[in-house]
Amino acid sequence: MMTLTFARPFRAAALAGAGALALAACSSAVGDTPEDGGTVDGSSISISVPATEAGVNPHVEFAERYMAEFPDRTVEVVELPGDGYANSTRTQLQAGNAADLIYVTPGAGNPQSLLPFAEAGFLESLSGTSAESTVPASSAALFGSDGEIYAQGLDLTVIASVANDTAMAAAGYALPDDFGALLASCADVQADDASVYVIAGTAVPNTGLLGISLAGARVYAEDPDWNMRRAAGEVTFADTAAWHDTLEAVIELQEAGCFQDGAEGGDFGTITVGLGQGTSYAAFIPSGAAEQLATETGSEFSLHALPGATAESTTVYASVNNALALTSGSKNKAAALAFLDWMAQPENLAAYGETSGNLPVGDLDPADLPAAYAPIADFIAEADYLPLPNQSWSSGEVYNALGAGIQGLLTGQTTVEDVLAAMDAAWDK
Amino acid sequence: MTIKKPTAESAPPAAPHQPRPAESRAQRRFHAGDYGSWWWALPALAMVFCIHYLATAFGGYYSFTDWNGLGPATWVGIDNFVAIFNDPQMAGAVRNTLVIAIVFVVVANVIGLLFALALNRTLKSRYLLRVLLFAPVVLSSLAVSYVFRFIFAQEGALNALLEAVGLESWQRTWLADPTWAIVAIMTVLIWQNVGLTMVIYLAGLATVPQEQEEAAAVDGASMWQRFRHVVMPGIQPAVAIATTLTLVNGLRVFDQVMAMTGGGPFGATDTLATVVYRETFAFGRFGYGAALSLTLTFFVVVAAGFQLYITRRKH
Repeated sequence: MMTLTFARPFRAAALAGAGALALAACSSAVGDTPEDGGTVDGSSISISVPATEAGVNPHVEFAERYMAEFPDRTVEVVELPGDGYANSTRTQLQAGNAADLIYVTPGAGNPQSLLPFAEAGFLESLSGTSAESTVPASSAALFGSDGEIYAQGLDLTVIASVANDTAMAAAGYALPDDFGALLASCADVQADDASVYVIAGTAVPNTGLLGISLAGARVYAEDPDWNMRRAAGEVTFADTAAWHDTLEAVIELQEAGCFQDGAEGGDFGTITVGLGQGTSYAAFIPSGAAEQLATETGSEFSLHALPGATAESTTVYASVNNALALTSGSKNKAAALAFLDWMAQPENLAAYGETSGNLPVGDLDPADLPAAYAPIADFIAEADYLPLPNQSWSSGEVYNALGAGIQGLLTGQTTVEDVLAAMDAAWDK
Repeated sequence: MTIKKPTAESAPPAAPHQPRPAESRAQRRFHAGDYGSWWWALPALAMVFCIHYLATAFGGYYSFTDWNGLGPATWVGIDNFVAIFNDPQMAGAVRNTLVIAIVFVVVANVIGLLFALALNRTLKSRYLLRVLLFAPVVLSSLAVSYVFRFIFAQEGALNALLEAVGLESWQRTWLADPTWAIVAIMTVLIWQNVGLTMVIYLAGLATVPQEQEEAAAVDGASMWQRFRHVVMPGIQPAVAIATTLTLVNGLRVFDQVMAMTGGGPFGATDTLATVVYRETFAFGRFGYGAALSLTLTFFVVVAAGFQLYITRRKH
């Protein structure tokens, strides 16, 4: 069982187009001389990222575009196996041979989260650089501490259900606006040998995302500071009624037949097949997958909020989940900063968002939203969204306890109370 | 058949005493067996010590720290071991590990022995059948496990077969069923290793003289009596080897669990090895993971020692 990662959306190329950057324009935290970070012209840097499961890694293409624009500079992208990425990165950081730039996720909730790396002194501060423009103010605490930031955001990932519009239209079905109507609709869909949702019951990252999605309307829309209060010891999962409601909702969805047959045995392949073939209408996967699915199946996909108890309580998550950090041990800091600065240019961020299937960080013009985001355009346009909550959980073990616990609820092996107690225990480790 | 000891009458006459030619010191040491002294093995021993035991000792050290893979480690005494024995998920992992190991030892050895007996002598196609039965042993356990994962899937071959023969009521999500998931894992483990135990028993059977079995048969011993009193004592060393190997492999089972269930559903197939992996590499709790590894090593050493003691005593 693994914890949630959002490395997978990295699968499309990024487009270039930025003008040449003078390092002097980059008010970097480190210098640009050979003594304190090397030179930029004729430089060579390395970037370590999780390998993509299919296709060309977008970082490879992004690096190629950078090198095409600056022929005297070299960028080597080192792809590490996705499931071993965090461990490999830890080992390399500890050994002092990590790449100049490494892929990280904000907060402390994932194995490759940046805060533990920064606290151990393995990351260089990016405060005062163009990286600051890529970090939303509301997420600053997830990118560093004491006023410093240690990573540069790449794109904005929206967490909502990805739905096959073509299949739903063919069946004459539309996702309801409230949870009660959703439950009521599942039996009819099931009677047509389909399911409203397809989940990977054996994959903790997916069951965890289901739990997080359900918690949006029930926990975090009502109390956006719940994580802070949990960290302060004012509340626990077990004594929060909204968390009970969240896990009870999983059982209600299962009993109403909203999941595919044998949901507890599903894996990510099940999601791909079910969603792609239209035998299931929606799934809880990162937003970037919508574009890839559309390309591969020819169907139309869009993002839908998971209905809350009422339409008004419905919400979505949107966070900068993917980032690059500069390692303290880098001998090419000036060149690495120049690359980061180039990536932070609005046109490059926009290109990166387009190709990753996510949204660009920074100011968003609703008119520029991709068609897939139309059903949740109001949330995005009004910035009415929540940051992904598990980023600020104490560790990945809490998310694992949630995902594994939902597995247990689906198979009847455990109870809501036991799952919440396990999440509290994981938080306090 | 007996061998007569030479008597004084039958012994050849002793050769007249020949004075030994003068030997150098080195030659005398050679004849005295001084060459091949223990210190010749020192380089190899040093390498084994450094690579194997020293590394293990470092792992042992980390088991008494809270190291997270980053920065310095802090000594926490036996806190990790206390946490292990207070962790409810560990009880399930230990139970699963023991169940898998015991069932694996018994079933893989019984089936392997039966195949060895069946393919020992008379069957004409025995060489081909031996190859076919041994083939899974050389396959990657991960590859085999992924193949079986598809077989056991909801839309997999097993459920399709059950439907084809009218046993729809037997269909289930095998790898997500808290009861059947561990059975599926043991099935794969046994299927892949039966060939290994078969080969070990075939080697053991080759040392049992055919004449002894024939003599027992002439004396009126039944097939079971011949197996119990002639064959089994003869293959006792093979039994010790096969059961020890399967016990150790069963206790440290990892590939099949990770590939098929990842320890799920809800820990129903978690073993000590998978918990070690998850705590160490997924959660970065290297100190805790090292303590778990030490615990697993202790399990394996004690169980293997106990098993060897039993089989040696019988021998």
